Amino acid sequence: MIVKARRLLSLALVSAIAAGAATRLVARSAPSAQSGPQAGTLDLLFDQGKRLFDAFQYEEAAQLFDRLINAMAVTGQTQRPDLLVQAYEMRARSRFSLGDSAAAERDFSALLAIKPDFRLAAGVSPRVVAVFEGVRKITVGQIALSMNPPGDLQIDGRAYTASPTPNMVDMTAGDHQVSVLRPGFRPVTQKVTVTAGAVSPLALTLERVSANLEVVSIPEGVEVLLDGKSLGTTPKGTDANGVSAPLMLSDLPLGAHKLELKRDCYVGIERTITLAAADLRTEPLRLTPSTALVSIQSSQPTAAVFVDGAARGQAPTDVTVCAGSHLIEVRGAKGRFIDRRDWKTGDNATLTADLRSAFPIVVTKASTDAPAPQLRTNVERALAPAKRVMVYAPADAELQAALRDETVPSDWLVAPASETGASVAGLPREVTRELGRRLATKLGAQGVAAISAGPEPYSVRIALLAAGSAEPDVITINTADPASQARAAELLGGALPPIMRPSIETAVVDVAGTPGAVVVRAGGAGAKAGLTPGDTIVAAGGRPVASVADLRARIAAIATAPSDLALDVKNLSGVTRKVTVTVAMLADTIPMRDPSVLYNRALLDLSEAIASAPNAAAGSAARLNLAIVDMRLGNWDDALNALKDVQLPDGPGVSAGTIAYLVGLCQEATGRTAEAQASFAKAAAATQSRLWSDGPLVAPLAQAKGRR
Amino acid sequence: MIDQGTTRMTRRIASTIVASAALTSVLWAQAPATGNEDVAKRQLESGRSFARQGNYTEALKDFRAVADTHASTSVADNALLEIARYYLDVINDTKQATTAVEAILTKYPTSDSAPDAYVMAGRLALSRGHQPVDLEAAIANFDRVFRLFPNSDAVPRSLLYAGETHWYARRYDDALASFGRVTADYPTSASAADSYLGAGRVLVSLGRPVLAMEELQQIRNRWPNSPAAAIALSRITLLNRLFVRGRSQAAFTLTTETLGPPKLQNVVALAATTSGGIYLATEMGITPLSAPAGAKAPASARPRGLALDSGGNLVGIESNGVRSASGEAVAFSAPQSSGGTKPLVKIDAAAQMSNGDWLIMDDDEKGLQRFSRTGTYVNVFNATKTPRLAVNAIDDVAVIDRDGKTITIFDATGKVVGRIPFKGASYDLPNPEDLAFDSFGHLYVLDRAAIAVFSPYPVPAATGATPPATPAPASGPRTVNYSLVTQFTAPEKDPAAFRKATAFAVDPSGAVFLYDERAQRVMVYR
Repeated sequence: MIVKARRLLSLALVSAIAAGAATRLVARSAPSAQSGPQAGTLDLLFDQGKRLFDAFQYEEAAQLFDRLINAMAVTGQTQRPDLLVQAYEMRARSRFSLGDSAAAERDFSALLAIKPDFRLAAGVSPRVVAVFEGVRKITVGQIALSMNPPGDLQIDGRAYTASPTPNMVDMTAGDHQVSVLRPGFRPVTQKVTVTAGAVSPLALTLERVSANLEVVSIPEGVEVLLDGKSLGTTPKGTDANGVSAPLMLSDLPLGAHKLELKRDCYVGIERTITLAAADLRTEPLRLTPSTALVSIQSSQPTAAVFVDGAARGQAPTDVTVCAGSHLIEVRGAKGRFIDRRDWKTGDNATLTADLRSAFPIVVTKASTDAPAPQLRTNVERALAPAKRVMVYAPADAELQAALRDETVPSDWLVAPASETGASVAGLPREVTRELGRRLATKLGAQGVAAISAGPEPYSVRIALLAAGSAEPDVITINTADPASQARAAELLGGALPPIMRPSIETAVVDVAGTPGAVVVRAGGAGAKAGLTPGDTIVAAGGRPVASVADLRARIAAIATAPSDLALDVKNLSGVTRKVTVTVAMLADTIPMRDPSVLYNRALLDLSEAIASAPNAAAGSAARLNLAIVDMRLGNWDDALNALKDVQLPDGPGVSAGTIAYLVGLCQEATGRTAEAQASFAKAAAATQSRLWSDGPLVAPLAQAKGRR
Repeated sequence: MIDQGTTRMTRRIASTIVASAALTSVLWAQAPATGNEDVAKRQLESGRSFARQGNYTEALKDFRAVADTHASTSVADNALLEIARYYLDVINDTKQATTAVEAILTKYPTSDSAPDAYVMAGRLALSRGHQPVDLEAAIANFDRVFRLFPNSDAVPRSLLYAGETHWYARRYDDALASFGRVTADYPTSASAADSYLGAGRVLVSLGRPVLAMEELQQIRNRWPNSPAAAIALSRITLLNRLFVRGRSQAAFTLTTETLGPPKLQNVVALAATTSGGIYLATEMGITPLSAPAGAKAPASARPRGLALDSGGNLVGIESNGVRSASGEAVAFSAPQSSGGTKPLVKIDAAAQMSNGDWLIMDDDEKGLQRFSRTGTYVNVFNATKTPRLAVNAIDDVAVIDRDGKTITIFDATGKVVGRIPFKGASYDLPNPEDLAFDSFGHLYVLDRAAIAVFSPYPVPAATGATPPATPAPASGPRTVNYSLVTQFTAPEKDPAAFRKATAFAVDPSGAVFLYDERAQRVMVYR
């Protein structure tokens, strides 16, 4: 009695302590009474129950485990199935120890429902084990689970792994739901019935309905296309050899597909792959670099090279570019080259950039029929073939930066001149010169251009102003007429008239009925060779001369002087002799008002000619002609300065009289009247001097000036 | 009975019609202004097209329609210019041309035709003659072009004509300056090549024939296929013969060319036109010996001579008048001291001045008579009698004065300005038979057995030394000193000799075609 009492008292005490502890735990950890005991509380309860069990206080232990199980059931704490299983085990053992085998069996049954493959640990009473095994026999069966191809599956929502080799899985008796969901395979959902104590076979064979493809490339970042559709790019891998990480392409239809790999600067790969009932991973597909090597030369050394806008050093230089189209720009101090070129893989090309004097379009006077962008494009296209001049539209940002802080009239340079000669809405010459110089400098160009839509459809006026010039050259083209465009391109690109000519310093004429070139005045080299008036030159350089044109052609073909030229000469008596004349290179001048000469371009060309003159005579001729161009463009002081350094002898053709006349014109234009008079007087005395080699005599022009 | 609805509708329709009519009339009133301009432009082009085809009658109709009916359009001035061109350049009706030009300058003084109208005004002044007043009027009009319209494309043309006018006025420096301005300032203009021609002529006048040849050669160098190049070749050849070859050799060489039939008889004249055609006149008619294709000779039945009109075209001299190749005949009648007029019936020689006046030598009359272009008597040019006469570009007239044993040169008014005795220090022309001027003004005299060429300009020395500077025109009566350039004669037995030359012609290249009565053939000397 006393033992029972003592046992009851202990049970009560333990229960109270456990309840109190459980309560305190619950009160401490639970945010509200409704959330139930926390995980830590459950573990405490279990520990208490276990201690009571180990202390053979089975009743108290059972009660505690009741509470634990109930608490887990109420609060739905099924995340701790292991704890629930242990709780059930302990309660069952407690109940068995209390003699309630039925209750113990029920607990074991509940336990096996949770964990069909549960086994009692070693050391448990054999009688308990026997009860457990008895329950297990009537509760649990086995599924011989196999699956091909192996992989994961779910039975009643719980994950299992299966392989083609059958694997025994304990399962409670009854129906169970099996489901397999795997990319590339037809989903499986089926029921399996497990008989307690028996093995139910479950062999699953998955049906492949699509494939997965993993693409690996070298290098990474390659665009992958399947049947023409881009499906992504290969990600960066960790391989030091540049192998990419695989790009997974899922759920691809079975069958043949065209696989393409593309990346800029690489040769694309194309393959046909056949996706069968298996995932596929490509071996690393290597792309070959697709580049070309271009050697860029320039007519001007140290010109800067740009490829697609990026600086690539100075010419001459070798650059490696991706195969394909590129915009090549070469910018030098004296010109620019812009072109789009196409290169193929493996090309080893040389590009010689002939720099052209650049004239960016800074003013565009559009019309409703010809909006500004279209006008600029039309002009660029029309004048693209011009060899020495490039008229182009600079980038808008570049242009705006150049025009900032400048006041440029909307019709600057392109206002039509009236019949009376006054330009309409023009700036003073000095302002024009300085503005043009500034804009050209800012834009890194040799001059500037202005365009305006003309009165006729498709016509455009184009004004070109070289840096340092005060007067533009104006041409009009019809952008819809190829012939007009060709003429303009020829005008822009045509060579300057020669500034030095080979000469035998002897005047010859054509005479009707006399084959050959008849000497009428022998001078200089001709006189030295013994030519006299009346002689007829019938051959030059061993080739017949039938006319003056023939002789001029033979002489013009002489590229360097002095050179000897053998002549066959017949005198008035008909006697033929041979003479050798030393051909000299003499200065010549370009006319001051020749519509076939673009004087603004000549300004640039002649400045360059001075800088690169091979000898003093060539430099002098270039300076002389530069002076003429300056005069034409109204740069009188510059012209006068240039003429000071030019010395020519007296005599026929371009000579001292020519210089004197030009100097007089400069002095007259700059208001130095007395000096001009003296110069004109000097020119008037030079009775054989000409303005250019086949131009007018200067003496009468100078005399007329003097009279005025 | 008309119901109200119908009445309202009727009124509505009526007001719509009225409004439409008003609108239409407004639009119609506006339409003619725009329509006129288009019609006028089309008619102008129609006229130009007819003119290009040579259908001047229809062309003139179109031009007149534009000028008269569409006088307010922008092309009325152009039509007047075309009318002026037709009258001046095609039919040489200076009166009508002047009317058209004046209409432009008064009604459309700032039009785009005005510059060319001034050029034409200058040319019309020149066509009146080469008297100082005419030349000054011409220069003034040419000057207006580059003063008033400095950007006009008529400026080089005006400078070209100004240069020629200065040459006529013997202002050689001004002439060279004008020509020089064309080639300096307008080197690619249509007038540039002709400017070199003009400059060449001026340089010859300044006594610088070699420089003239160089100048003319520029045309051949720069415009080798142009008409001016062909003219330049002729002139260079002429100058070369006289001043280069002729310095050390005979200027003329007999060629082997055969012109005309053998045993030629009764030749009265030879003539060379500016286009290079050579014509022979016998008592039976006028025959081309060498003429451009399609060239026609005057159909004179019994010609008494040949002449060139002011345009360089062949004219047949008949007993009572002159006849052109187109058949146009002008008969002359001179007033009689007893009153009335008498037709001339024994014309021996004729020549036309630059203004179209004819100088006629009739054997029955006392002196050289002047008639207008259409045959109206003007005056007695000079009392001289001459079997032959020649007129140069500045209207100096050369005659053979057998009585005075001189070649006498008159100016355009009939005053004597120069004489060339039959015998000089270095030449002898006992029997001059014929005269001719070349394009430079050198006078060729045909003697029965010699050819002599005289120049009114300074002649370079045989060494080629530059002659003295041209003196400024002297005040007082003008005189011209002709000096011998070259004389050609051959020894009797020489194949090149001729003994009884009675007529000759000098072609533009200075080649001489003469008829030797003894040899009875035309001999060609180049």
